[in-house]
Amino acid sequence: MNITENKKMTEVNPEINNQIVAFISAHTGVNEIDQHENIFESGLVNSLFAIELMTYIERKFNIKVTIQDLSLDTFSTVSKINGFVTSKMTSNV
Amino acid sequence: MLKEVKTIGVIGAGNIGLGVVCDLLFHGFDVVLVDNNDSALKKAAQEIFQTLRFAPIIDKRLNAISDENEIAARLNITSDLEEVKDCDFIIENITEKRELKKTLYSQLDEICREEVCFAANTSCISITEIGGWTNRPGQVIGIHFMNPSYLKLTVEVIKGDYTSENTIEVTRTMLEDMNKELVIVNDLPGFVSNRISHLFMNEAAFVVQDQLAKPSDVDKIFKECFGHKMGPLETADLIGLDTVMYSLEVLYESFQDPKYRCCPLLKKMVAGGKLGKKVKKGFYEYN
Repeated sequence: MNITENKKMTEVNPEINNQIVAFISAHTGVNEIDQHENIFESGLVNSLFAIELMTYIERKFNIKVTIQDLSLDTFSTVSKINGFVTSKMTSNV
Repeated sequence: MLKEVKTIGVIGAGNIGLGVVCDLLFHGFDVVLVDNNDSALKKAAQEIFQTLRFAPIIDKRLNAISDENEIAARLNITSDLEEVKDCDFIIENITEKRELKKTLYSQLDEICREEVCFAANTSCISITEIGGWTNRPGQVIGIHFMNPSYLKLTVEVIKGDYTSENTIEVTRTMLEDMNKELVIVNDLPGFVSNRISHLFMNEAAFVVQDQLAKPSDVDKIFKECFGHKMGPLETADLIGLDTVMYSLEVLYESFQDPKYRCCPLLKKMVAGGKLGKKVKKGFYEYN
């Protein structure tokens, strides 16, 4: 993704959403995931999945997850993950 | 007599070994990680780094380690077994094959200082038997770290027939420094946890083979009815179906009891390369 594309980011980026949902779906076999479903509390994934998820979003979106970002809540719904990725990408511009 | 354990040699960079390495690093130990498989070592470095950075999101008691220089100073990843020569304690996690383990312990016996203890993080082989492969049976003990080790606060410790009180104390001190509680048990193949858990996993495979239920439903019953965190088939996928099969073979061979016979479906899956999560295909498929 280039800088011009980064600037077009809005709070909910459907492309990012699709990629996050695809990653979670591939892991769980569940295709329809509610944007606001807490994926940990609902039992869709266990907390260990958070490590795989953070590794994935760092590589996929070329962002850095820092120690300050380490809150399970930040990665608990597709919507929140999208917001986190978008804000990181925007601050990278 | 060993005074202090500071540097630990971990042999085997599989799932369980990597969890143990991270756990040791989180708790201030230095580690030499050895594996003879180069691709496993390459994968290990990456996985360890990500776990050291990210695991505190799951358990707040862990302090993230994100400084690559610190990790490089405290962790030596190598394919050369000789590099454990200065280690104060050894934790072995290699494939559950008697011949491989026998060769390894004989090499470790030559390489390591005479006061160093060996802990077999073995799946099922008797600790007394392993002790007999060395010239230091009193310094051989079993530690069954649960997976992933850095999230588990209790370990099963196995006392072989010749394991000395000093070895138990050295092990206890090290594990307490890792904030672990010990459950010490006597020695018979499979000990307590694996002797029982492998029957669960094997019978769950029989249930799928008999088309009684699909894997997700078998696991769902264990999770939602029994309150287990993971079902037996998810657990088997995580451990590795080949490891589960090898462990069942050791149990079967050791007890000569048909209740440990490996389910033909499990054998077929292993023969077909469906080894579980590590190859992204087992009872489930993974991304």
